[in-house]
Amino acid sequence: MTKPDFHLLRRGDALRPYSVRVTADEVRAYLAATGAGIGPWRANVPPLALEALLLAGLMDEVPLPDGAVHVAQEVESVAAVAHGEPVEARLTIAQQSVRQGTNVVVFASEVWSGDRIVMRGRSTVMAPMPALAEGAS
Amino acid sequence: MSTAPEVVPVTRLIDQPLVRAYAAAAHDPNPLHTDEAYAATTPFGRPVAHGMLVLALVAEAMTATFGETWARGGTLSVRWRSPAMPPCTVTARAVLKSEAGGVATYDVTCEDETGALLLTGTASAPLPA
Repeated sequence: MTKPDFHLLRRGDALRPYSVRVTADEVRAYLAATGAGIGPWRANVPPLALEALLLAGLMDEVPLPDGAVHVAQEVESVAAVAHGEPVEARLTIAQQSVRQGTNVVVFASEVWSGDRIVMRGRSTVMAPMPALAEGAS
Repeated sequence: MSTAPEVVPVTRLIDQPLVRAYAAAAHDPNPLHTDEAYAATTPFGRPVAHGMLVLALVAEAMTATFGETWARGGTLSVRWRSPAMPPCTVTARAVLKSEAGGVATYDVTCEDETGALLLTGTASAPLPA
């Protein structure tokens, strides 16, 4: 299946939903990699760990072009997600614009566990527009 | 009278081993963070830490204050202002901005040891009933 081109995304587009399941080992690895202790996360996934792995899933779905930079992030953690609990990410393009040769795309996400939303987010990614092909009109 | 708790700052050395560990844990293969030769070809000139790694210090500070409640109603809204260049010592701070409707909202920042502002925004969490 062809993956969407970042530069062809437009406001209102919906990405193919994808699933994420964050295991206890992944939580431990995330906390160790951020320098944090296990704290209260013995059973549940830290919200930002979930968001980080959702972003990894997003990069699988929409390969980011060279020079892409993650410039802003919003996260609303509605409910705790347990280690190993499967969730589904549903993303749409909330905004898209080109400013001074830079394409700015805002991905709005809803994360569902069964029939309840457990997290919402907005991720803003900027990437330079590809150079126009020579001879293009 | 405010009932919102003070959030204790978190300070951490972000070096290349930590960045590599984060790249693996977050499944982020972007060579901008881990490949010196590639990073040298970018406007940054050298590897930069993941923005989400810097933001993790804010989440850690909020978690230390609010515990698991952070996962049940916590919010973050941030913009990265400049890249964190490892090795650097980053401090995440959260200063109470408002308290209303049982929710405490904080202005959050991350700075490196030179005082460069890496991240600004807000974080909020529900207050204990």
